[in-house]
Amino acid sequence: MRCPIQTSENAELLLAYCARKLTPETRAVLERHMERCPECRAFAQQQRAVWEALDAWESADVSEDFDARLFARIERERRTPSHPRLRLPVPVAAASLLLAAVLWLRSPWWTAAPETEETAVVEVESVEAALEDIEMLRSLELLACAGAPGPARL
Amino acid sequence: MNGMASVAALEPDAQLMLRVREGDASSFTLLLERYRTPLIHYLYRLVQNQAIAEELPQEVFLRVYRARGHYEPSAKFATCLYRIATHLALNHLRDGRNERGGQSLDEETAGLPLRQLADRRPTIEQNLLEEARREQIRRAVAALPPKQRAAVLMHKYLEMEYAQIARVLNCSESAVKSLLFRAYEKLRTRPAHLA
Repeated sequence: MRCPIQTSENAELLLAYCARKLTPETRAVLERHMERCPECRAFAQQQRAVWEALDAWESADVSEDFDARLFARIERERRTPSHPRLRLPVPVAAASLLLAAVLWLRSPWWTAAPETEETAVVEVESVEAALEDIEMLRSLELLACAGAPGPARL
Repeated sequence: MNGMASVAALEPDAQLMLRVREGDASSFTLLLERYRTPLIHYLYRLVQNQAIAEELPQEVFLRVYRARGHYEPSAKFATCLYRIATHLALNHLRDGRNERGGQSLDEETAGLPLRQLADRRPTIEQNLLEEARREQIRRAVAALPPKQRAAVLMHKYLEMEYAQIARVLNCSESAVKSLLFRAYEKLRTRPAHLA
């Protein structure tokens, strides 16, 4: 086999090897190669060290009241009637936001206002963030991967 | 969806989510039980701030619940969930909000392992060295650009394939490979003096 380190498309073989995701056959071929390739051996050794260090990195415990807090928030939302503006179709809402932002930034009030450049950047970012939030809310129905094939094997 | 046969062919999570869409609260609870812990662990490692790592998953599940009425089982539920979570976390990291609220892991652990390395008893020394290694890798992960960090965490801890990571990050599979190779390269070289 060609040295995986020399070919970018094959370098994932070494990552998969260290993640123990290779089939026994491919693993055997790679191990035979590594016996005579010090670069690949070193790569695998270092990657395994990273893998083991990541294995040892424990995460935080989940707090006991996590579900209770979530259901309380859901309940609060249920009791609060949604604002009519939120019922707009997403493209209309996004376009309205964008239009409002453009008009606002171009208005005399805006140019006359003693705002700093930094404030303007923050406001534009707020509009961007709002648009991103709308986009995210759509993700459950409009995910780009809709109908995409299943996960590829290494 | 056309009929019960089509529903039965769906992945279990999608079936649950369809029931949530129809108003079945117990199905939402099942999804919550299934994904709560891995999602919190993922976000904890991504934002490296315990308080935020609990706040963000609350927001993720809340958004899933809000969007239940629009759910269409065209994509894997886990992909949707982690896509929302990653989007929120990356926004959070971009805005630098983690520096304003809660306690970061740096504050929790700063200097602790290295200060204690003076103890020369072998077992304790080994433990401390292990701890130092963990701390080193944690800091190395924290130093990665956020997208690389997210890719590594999904690859390592969630065992996602490249294609699924690509869907979560909304990029191509080759971009994911590139992100991962660069990230692992940095991780391999950073803790070298402790390896």
